[in-house]
Amino acid sequence: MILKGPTGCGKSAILLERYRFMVENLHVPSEKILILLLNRTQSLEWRTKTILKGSSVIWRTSYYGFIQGEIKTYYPMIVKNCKEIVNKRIKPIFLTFESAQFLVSKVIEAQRESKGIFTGVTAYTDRIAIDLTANLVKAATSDIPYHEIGDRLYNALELKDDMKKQIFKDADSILAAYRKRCMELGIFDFGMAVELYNNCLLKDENYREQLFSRVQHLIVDNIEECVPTEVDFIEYILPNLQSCMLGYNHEGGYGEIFGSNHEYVKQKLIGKCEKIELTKSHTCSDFMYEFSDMLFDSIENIKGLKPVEKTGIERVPPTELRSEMLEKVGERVCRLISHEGYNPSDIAIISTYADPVTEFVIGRILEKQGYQLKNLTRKSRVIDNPFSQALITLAQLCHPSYGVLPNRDDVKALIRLLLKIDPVRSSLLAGEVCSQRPFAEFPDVEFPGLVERIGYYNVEKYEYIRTWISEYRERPTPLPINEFLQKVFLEVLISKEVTEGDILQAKNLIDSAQTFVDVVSRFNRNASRDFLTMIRGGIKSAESIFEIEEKLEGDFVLLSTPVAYLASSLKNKVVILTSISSKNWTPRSVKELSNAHVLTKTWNPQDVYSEELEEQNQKHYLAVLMRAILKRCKGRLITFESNLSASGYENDGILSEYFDEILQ
Amino acid sequence: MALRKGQKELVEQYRGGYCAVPAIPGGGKTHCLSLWAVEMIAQGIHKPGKILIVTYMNTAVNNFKQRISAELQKRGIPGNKDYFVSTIHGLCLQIIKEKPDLISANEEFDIIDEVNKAHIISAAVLEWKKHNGDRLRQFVDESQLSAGRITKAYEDWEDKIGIVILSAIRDFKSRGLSPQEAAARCKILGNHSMLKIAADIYEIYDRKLKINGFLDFDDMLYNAKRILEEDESLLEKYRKKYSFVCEDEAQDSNLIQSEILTLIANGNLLRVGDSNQAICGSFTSSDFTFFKSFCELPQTTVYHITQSSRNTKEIIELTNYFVRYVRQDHPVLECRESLLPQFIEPVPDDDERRNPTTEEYGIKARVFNSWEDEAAAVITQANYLMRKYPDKTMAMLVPTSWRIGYVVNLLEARNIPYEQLDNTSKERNRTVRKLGRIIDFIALPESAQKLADMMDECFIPDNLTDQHDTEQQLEDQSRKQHKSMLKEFLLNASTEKILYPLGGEIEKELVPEELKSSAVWEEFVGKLDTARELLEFPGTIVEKLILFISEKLEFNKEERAIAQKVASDVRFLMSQDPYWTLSKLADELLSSKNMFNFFANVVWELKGYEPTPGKLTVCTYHKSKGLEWDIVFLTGLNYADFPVTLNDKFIGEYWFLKQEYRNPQAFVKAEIENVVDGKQGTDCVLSSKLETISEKARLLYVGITRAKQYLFLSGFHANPGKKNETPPSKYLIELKSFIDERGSK
Repeated sequence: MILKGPTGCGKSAILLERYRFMVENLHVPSEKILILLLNRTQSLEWRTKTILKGSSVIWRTSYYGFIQGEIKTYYPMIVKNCKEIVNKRIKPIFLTFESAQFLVSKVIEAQRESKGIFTGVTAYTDRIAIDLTANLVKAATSDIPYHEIGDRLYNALELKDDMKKQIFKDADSILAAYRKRCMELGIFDFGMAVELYNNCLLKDENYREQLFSRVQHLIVDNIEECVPTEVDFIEYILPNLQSCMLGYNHEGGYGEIFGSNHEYVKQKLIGKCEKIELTKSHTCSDFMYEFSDMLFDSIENIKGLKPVEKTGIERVPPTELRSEMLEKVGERVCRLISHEGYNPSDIAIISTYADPVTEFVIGRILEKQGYQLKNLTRKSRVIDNPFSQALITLAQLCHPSYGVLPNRDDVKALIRLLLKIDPVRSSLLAGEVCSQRPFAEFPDVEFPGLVERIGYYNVEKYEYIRTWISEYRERPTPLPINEFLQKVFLEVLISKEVTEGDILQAKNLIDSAQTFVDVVSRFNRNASRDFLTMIRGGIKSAESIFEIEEKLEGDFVLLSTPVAYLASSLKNKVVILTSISSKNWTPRSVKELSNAHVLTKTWNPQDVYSEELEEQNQKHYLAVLMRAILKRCKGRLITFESNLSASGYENDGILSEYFDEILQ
Repeated sequence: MALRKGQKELVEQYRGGYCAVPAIPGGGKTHCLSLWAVEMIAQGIHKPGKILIVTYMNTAVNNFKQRISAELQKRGIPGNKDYFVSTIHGLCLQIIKEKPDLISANEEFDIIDEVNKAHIISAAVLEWKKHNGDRLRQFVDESQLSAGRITKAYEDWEDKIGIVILSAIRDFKSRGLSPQEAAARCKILGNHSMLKIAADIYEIYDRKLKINGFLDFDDMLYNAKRILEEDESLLEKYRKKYSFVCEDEAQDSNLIQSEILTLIANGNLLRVGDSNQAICGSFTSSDFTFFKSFCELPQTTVYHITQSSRNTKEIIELTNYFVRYVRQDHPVLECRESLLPQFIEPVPDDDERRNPTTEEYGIKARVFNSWEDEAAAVITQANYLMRKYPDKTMAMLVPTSWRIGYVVNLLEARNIPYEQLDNTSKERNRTVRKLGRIIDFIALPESAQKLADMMDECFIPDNLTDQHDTEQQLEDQSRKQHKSMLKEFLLNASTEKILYPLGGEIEKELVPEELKSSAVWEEFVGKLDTARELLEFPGTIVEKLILFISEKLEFNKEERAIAQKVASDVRFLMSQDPYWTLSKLADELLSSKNMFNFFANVVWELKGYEPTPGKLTVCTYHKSKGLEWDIVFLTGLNYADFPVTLNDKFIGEYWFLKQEYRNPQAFVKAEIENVVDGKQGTDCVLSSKLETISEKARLLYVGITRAKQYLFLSGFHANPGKKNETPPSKYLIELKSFIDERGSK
């Protein structure tokens, strides 16, 4: 059965209620019900509510999580069915996106300088790596063989030439080599996992039997955002289920750039199920409900109505510079709270790039009035946290042979954190540390000239750390980085002042080190060293479910990108859209090495992806996105824009033009 | 304001097709072009598209925007979205951003700035040298060098080769040749060919550019054109988007720019310019003949603007005399066409804005004994006139930027208020510099020098008001003294004892009595808390640190915009180079040519430049384009900067190279013409000299026409009769005799 309705019609609530009813009233064993959810924020909603009296194991996961679990459990079956896995005795491991990108970028980097691959491509190597790994995932989740990726993309080009042909060939060969190596070693990314599951488990009769007996009921929310192989999976087990409840937002589909395929969902599932339609939305005002549809029609070139009443929408005239705009946003938010009676948590600021600068500028203005801003988008790096950075700096000091020595700024920060010395004296000491030969190390306290300027601060602690490092360096072999971090955390860093947040960060860091070491050491690389390099390169930090929960529930003004906002289930009284004249609202889906629409099941490989189509897709994306955002706006909409972009060039995006047109 | 001859026809009659408006200096181009746009918008003739105005600099863009929007507002017409003003680079960027994938570029590509470009080209040269040893040395003329000077010559040559290669790369690109194609064309050339070397390095340069995600300005123009040509639907989109295309300063257009605008215009193309003011040929590939031939097309309607009320009739007379001199008596026959016979007419006496007048003859010319004498004398004269005419604006035009540096130092020493019009001027760089000073200190807080510099530049201003009466001057004087005492004191102290004294307070006996009782000391102590706050701010998130500095220093709106830009770029820089440190960032910020110049200029230029009386504007002749002042000093009119005959000295010639390579840029240009265009036997050195002479004549023409009321021309004649004799420019001699004769009447 499909529950069909727009944002805020109460689908998810009904799905939850149905689950409760099955477990509590019908006494269906909870381990026989598979719940597939979109992401972690959704999972959070379900987490507390699915723990019921009488329930045993709760099977609540994402599609990727489900596949990982199945592969782990049935790995012997996989090894039997898959010829490509060479080392059959070791357990499978799964790559995070970051590790996958790191591995691919290392391969590209070397070949770009020496062999001149990707000639003619103007892009950083890590950007290329991101595109290639994403292509592999998209192809796999759309059931497209990996060796057809390059051809498919090249064939779809409107303008073809030899240079481009070569570029896609280069991409194919990099991916093929990477994939082959991963398979041999039993390391899988999302794409490979999907491929293995479909080819080596679902095709196995024994597995199918077990699957059907284990899954008797299925609940999936937001099927419009499912990737095609997930849709196939649902369709496949459908006939064997006792019951199936699917939540479907027919106005959704903003995740197509990330691989979901609304069209495919319509083809495969919508006709096969009984439908219940919900029409009323409880998350937005009547006015906004109508306006969101009008804006949708206007962007999609459907001649529609224009609003008569416009009081729900406030358009702030454009500023010249983007910085001025951000400040105006901050000031407006303060007024909303102090003069117009809104609570901070009533307000959401949507920005296409909710970067630290945006966050800081608006945040500081709010802070001065005593309000807080939280960024829903995960943008902070591991080394942004002083505590994690201290861990990394210590790791670098203890492993001089890795050749990734810490710089003076890092050592200074470490000394301040550990010894609580003022910044000037910390810096003096850091200078001495870094100038030791052959490698940076903590000098003897009695080092000439040092004590005179620094004084005797925390000498005991200093001596302790100094000895700890030198003893560690004398070890015949270094510890793997995850074990090292654990050790240094417990033996050096932990103290009374360490906050819960710091501990959480350290735990995240140690966990990701562990995963990374597991993966990379199989490639015969020095994983510990690679990990330090990768962290220094600024990879983002993982976010625990608690941190997300905190952001969603406190009394904060929220800053978010449109997609992160939609992935949450938040609704707000005031929605503020920033930079609406920016082009970032309509990201281009054709990139130098990828095209989200071509690597899908619904794409005909013989077709050419024309500019007309791209324009249509961009508009459609914008229309869907805006409608979904506005459907979560209970009261007012405020828009801001600037004439110049962040880098000082003229903005000429289309969103503000649609607003102009419809509000004329 | 009433419209004059030429202006009126444009505003009232031009409604489509090809149209050219050749306009003399001071003819009110911006004014009438803006009025035309407003008229079109008022009548809705441009609908459904927009009017596109392409001009040469951001200041001009803002000038147009302000005028059009003010006029629309005055007439009560909504239509701020009916026109779009942009530089050609802004337009090309917009086109490429539509479809970066067409040229295989990531959407996050960046436009390379001059600083990074210099880095990349020298890295490319270095890489090339690794595999090709001393091949560069064959061009150096060792025969006339002593052993000691040979090494110096090699160094100089390696220093200059980047410029030569970049100019060759530009020439390749302007012919649409990719590195691979260029290499293929040059294959037949031997190892002694400079062009072949350039082609090799082009390949390396291009690879490095791309790996770093950069396009350069030439790539932008070339790729924008390619995209428009290859992609019909995009071209169609642009044609619909812009129903009228208008090019300002059309004389400085180059071939690609011309082609791009012609493509988009689809028949409705309006070009405004003045061939006599074409001064960009030597550093872009611009060519004023494009505008001239556009005017001559049979389908082009031409409206001449010939009247100007900018200058006094005397200055107009001098200008016209100069045009006549060049056309009739220029010693080099081939250069007589460098100025077209466009003579400026003063406005009729019944015009509402008449030409200004002066009581006496307002033009003077002089030759000094050296550049030092000349600069000093001009500044003295300027200072005198500033007091005599406190309401008049004035400017000093200087041929090269290193001479500007000299002038600025003199002005500072003499405490004369001035303003420097330059992308790297102190004022424009002030924000970035302040950030640099503070980060430099945070990176190394134990350095007494860094603490002293930061306090001096960021926290304790030189003077508290802008007034310049005697009392204030005395106060400023004593303030200066105290400031230098403070500096002295800080330089000799240990910073930890100043910022974090063990007793909680700075030891009193260390501080000199006079300093302790001064206002400067009080301010200093007051700022120590801020300094500590900055130091203690968590340094792990550098972008937040930068924004925090901007807050603590109470930056104004423009400064905050620049700080935000620095902050957002920092994250990116750090991710590209994990070993990026605060010190490195400080170095970048403190250098006068830094990666933030472009954005700082965008912000600066939004404010626009309005000459202010009581301040001397200092700028190059090039930068003076489009501007005007009551009083203008044209300086440095000597034979190297304004050559007239073929025997004069030419900039860009390297004495240490063999005779045939002395002007390597011209040599490489000729090689390209030979290999790529199939042109045989052009005397490259000669044609480059002719081009330089012609352009410098136009540059002087631009200079002369900047002056509204008073004009002073000067040069110097140094070391007469000696080997290193530097005579004045022949133009100065020629004009001087004319001026002296008129002045004596």
